[in-house]
Amino acid sequence: VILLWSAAGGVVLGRARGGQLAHLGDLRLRRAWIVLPALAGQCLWVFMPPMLPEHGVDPLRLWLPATLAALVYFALANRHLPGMALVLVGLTCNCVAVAVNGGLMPTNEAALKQAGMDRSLELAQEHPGIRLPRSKDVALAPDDTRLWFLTDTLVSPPLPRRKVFSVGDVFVSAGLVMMLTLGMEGKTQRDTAKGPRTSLSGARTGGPLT
Amino acid sequence: MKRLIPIITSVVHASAHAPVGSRAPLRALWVLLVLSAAALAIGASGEFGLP
Repeated sequence: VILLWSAAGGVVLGRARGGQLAHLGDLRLRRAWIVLPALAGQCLWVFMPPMLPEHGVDPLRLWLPATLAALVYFALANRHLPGMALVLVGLTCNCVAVAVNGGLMPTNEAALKQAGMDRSLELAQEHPGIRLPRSKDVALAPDDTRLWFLTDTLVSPPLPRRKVFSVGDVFVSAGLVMMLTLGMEGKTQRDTAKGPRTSLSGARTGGPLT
Repeated sequence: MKRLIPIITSVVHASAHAPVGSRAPLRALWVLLVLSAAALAIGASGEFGLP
């Protein structure tokens, strides 16, 4: 949800800098078909009640790493877009944190307390290792968490509720804002050593596309 | 709803100024949808739900 705020922020910032939403249509997305099924599958498992650890493996422990790997492929295919390098860094951070911690993103008691997620905390204390409801997270003790600095240890301001998030999410947010802002300005390619950014829309239409 | 107003305003503005028959606004919305969906799927911020 923090990332939806970033999308809205990117659009607002793009408008404030004189960009046009229509220019986003010039961003040539490759392998876009990966994204919606990946998200739909995540939503399906996230909104299902979590499976008790003694009853088996929560399906999201398998689906989340698989979809993150697919999204790495999507991000690599679109690495020509401005800001995608930052998204790729964030995605890699989240992917590694999930992969080394059993398929879910770890968080901890202190972060959950600070975020006011008391119900999740109670459930995690009753059933250690359970996926937290309506999330991709699992509460782990710091000693049991691998690469804790990549996990959900940060707490957002109330927007309107506080959420826990990871350093990877920060990179993804920054990349998304950059991609939308520059995309709205018609900058559809990231800077390369060979030359300045190019505006495909301007080249095609011979003028501003509004 | 108030949070969506700047986005809706941008879409309406883009539609109003696009050449007749242009698919640019629709393409722009598609790109916005895919990028937002990708960000949601990539992000691991706790509790997945509406704000």
